[in-house]
Amino acid sequence: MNRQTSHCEYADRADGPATAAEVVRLGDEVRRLQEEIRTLGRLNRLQERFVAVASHEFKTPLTSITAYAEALLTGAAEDPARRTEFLGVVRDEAARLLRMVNRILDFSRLEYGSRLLDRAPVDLVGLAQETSRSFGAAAAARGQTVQVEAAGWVPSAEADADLVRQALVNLLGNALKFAPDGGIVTVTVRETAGTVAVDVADNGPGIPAADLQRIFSAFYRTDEAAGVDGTGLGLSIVNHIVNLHGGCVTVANGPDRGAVFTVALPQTVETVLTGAAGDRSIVANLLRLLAEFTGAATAVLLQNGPDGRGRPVHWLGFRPSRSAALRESTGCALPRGTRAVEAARDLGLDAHGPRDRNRWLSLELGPDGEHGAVLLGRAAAAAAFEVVERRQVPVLARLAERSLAGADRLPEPTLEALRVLAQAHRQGVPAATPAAVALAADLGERLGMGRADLAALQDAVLLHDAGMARVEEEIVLARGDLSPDEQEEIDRHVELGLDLLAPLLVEPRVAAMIRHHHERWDGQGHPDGLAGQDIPLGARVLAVVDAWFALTRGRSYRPGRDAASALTEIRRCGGTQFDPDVVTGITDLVDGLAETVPGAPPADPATVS
Amino acid sequence: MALPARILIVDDEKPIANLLAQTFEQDGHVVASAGDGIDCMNKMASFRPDVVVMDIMMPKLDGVEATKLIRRNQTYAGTLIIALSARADDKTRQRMQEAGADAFVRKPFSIARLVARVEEMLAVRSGLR
Repeated sequence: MNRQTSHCEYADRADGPATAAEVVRLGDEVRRLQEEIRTLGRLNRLQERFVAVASHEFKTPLTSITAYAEALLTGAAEDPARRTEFLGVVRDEAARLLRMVNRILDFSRLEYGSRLLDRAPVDLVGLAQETSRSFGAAAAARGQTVQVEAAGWVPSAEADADLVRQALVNLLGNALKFAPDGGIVTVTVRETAGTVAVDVADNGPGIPAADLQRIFSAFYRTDEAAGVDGTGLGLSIVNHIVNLHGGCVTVANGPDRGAVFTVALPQTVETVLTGAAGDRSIVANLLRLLAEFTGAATAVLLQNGPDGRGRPVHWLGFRPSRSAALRESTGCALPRGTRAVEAARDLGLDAHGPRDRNRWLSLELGPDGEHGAVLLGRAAAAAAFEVVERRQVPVLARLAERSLAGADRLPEPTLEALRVLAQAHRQGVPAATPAAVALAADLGERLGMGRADLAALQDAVLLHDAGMARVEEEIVLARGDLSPDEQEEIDRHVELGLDLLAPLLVEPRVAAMIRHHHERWDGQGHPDGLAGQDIPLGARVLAVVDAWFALTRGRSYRPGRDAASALTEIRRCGGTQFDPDVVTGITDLVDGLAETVPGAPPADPATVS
Repeated sequence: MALPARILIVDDEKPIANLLAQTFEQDGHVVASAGDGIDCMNKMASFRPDVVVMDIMMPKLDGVEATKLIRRNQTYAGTLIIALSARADDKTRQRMQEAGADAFVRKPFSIARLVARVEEMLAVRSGLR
């Protein structure tokens, strides 16, 4: 219906000259339709293959069920032992049919659904051992052995454990199917640059060279698989799962027969940042950090190519599998400002992911983007980037750039700083949100802060409470009054944070703003007891912004208030705790802010600033 | 009931191969089984069947190729070949017919009807002799 409406719209205006906007819209429409045709073609091919598989694979167990049921009905099995045997066959074959149906369902969920990954650190060695144990009885029946080995210390992977378990089940099941009786399947878990790899090797017949390319296609089955139970979906499902994780799966024939499937999944932020990994993993983690801050599902680091186009050098999250290599070779338009969506389209991301231009955001690295760019996209189901969030972009860009500018390897303290920052972000520090960055910038501007100071202030907002990640969790989550010792520990977070973030805080004024944001106008604050104008203006602004978000969003020990009551509280403290000018500034702003800044959402018990 | 015959069942699906074997044995025939096309060719020489019930989709050597090999050998000229397949398309049926199968039965099938068909074909053949 929609399409028809827009078609009529164009027809009505066909006699007049098309405006530039109409041309752009028509172009978009054509691209959308082309995309739809491609999708339909793919679905059609899938359907054809599905029918071919269904006609053979489903009928095989059905043949046995029908024949045995018929034998039972016609009294061909009078002997009780024989009856039991026949009924057993019917049950086993029905179970086999059910497995196939489930596999089809798994596949369609992954292929057409938009399953959101539930990522957490996953110990792949443990998961591989657990999976191999589940095959114990089946393997033993054919005298087969499954060995799980870890190549030294292996970091955990950032993955959805349920999905990865399913991938491992498919790979192990496959390996055992093709391994001979008495054969051996070896699972090796090892670390590679930025990923954790799992090799599943069998000593079966291996895979003919011609099949290696197509083996991950849905419903594709090799001749070797002709006599083996299956739907031709197992490996396709593995491929989907691994792609969803931004990883990759490959297959090769082993040195002496047998096939080796290798799945590589991204390592967790924590392990990469603390482990001794190469620069590629650092890039991966910076991307992940950026994606986490912006709630993006996809992050692509682009380098400037000699032809003035962007070259993807690192991907995180969703990545189109089929044509990725091709697109990588031709690159994409360099995203500048609102052109982020064009870069995404060039990379083939809009075909599956977000189409709305407000779901794409780009960060330029270096002056005029001379160090490249980062393209960030939100999932179609997520909210679009809001104006306030776009204001956070330059802050993130500066952080990313500073870290990416490092040589081939970031020093350990920088890694630690990034790790702390990621952890603080995960704990959801309320005053380090895009809305807080925007409020601080508005307030600073109103108070006449210069450009450089405003930039520093935005960095400071984002980083000021990272030290909380280092305060004992029980204290952070405490309800009610804190003991003097606990209060002291909370107060110490400022210095803790500064120590931890030192490697990222190359600008002394950012550090000064953070250091002094708990000072009081009357000199009764900490850590240095500064008073009045001696406190840097950025720190005074930060103090008020911090208070505003603490009051309106609440703390672990106190529910949030509405905007009016929060403002009354801040005004009450003007001239004692807060700079009266900053208080006037926020008072003036609040009327306008009432529309854009959330007043009093329910308190989040896990957050505190 | 037809004359006792030697029947070779070639199917990699054990449950269905077992049931066919039992049914034919109950009817007084002598039965052997093979799990794939290669196994079938070996059993041809040692068992010398009158009838081969041949599945099509099998590992190593499929039913079409096995049928062609059987038909190439004059020794087995009188052997009846009955093809079984879950492939419902006419192409498969045609390929099997060209290879030299005498009958084509689609899976899933009724055991009773398959047995009746085999015995009918055996009767026709013995009548022709």
